[in-house]
Amino acid sequence: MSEKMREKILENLAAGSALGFLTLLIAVFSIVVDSRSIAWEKDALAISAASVVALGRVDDPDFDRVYAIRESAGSSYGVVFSKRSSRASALFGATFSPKGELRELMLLGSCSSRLPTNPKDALDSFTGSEATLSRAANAAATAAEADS
Amino acid sequence: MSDSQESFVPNPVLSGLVGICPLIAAANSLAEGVMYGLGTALCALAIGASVPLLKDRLPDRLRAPATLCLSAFFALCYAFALRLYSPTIAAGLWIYIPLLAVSSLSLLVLRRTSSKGRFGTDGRSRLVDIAVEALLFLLTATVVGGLRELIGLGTLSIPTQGPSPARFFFTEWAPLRILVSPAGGFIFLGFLVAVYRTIIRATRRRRT
Repeated sequence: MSEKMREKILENLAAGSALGFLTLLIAVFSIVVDSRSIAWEKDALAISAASVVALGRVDDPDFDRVYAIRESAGSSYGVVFSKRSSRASALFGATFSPKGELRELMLLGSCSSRLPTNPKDALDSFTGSEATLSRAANAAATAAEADS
Repeated sequence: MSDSQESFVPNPVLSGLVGICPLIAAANSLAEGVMYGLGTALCALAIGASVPLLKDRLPDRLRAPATLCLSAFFALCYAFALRLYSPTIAAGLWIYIPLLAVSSLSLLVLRRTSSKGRFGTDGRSRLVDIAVEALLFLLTATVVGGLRELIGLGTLSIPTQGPSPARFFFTEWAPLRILVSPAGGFIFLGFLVAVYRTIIRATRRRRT
């Protein structure tokens, strides 16, 4: 192997390991941020709940996780999701019965000052809100099945 | 070229129309404008500080991909920090946060820095020029976001930590709602560019 070739391989290896190091840093940061996000979402959902358990990740464009909320009256399942349009964005929280029926809808925060304060009206001002709610209800029902 | 013209750093948005698409799409309120501008400014400064350090250690063929990787890394770090600071603003900026990597790299002085020496022809550190340009980007994003929200919705939102930005209401209704949409944003930016260029032309004419 020529000297030049060896030098190039070493350069590539050094660049590759630097990239690997950056990827590792990103992975560590994402774990920290995810754990903080879970804590924040639990706080947001646990307004009247005794304890909240995260039930793992969900493959959906609008929400990441389903939470099991243990109350003395029975279990319910919560989801925190975001909606966005070209004029506004908002974060919603929703709790569902184990069968997937909507129990409570909450407007957790918004980036537009002119969104209606009523959570249902605020959600209706975004396109595709019904589809998101029905996907969240399905995810809650699936989580309830897996939980029982 | 005279010294005064050499040391002049033009506004990257209003003069060079750099990164206007993500800026207009993302900055439809003061809070989002500030956070988007801050992200671009911080990424540009971080790249501007790290690229000259890497320049001596990296071969030419790896310089461009390394700069792009670094830029994406800084943009991701900012996205994480923003998610922790305000999940709602992070959700509002959405897909435009990764575009910080491109917006910051598009800054003119930064592009020149990665191709030439660490210092400019006038002897000043290029990092100072990048800082000025980044600050101008932040200022423009703040003005664009703030004025669009103020004229469009009659409110101003301050990026505070927590689920929702702090808000001030100036009118009961939204005076010119179209300004908050991307189409209105481009119309508004067009007016702002016209005003900026008129001022620059008048200043140059007065100097000559």
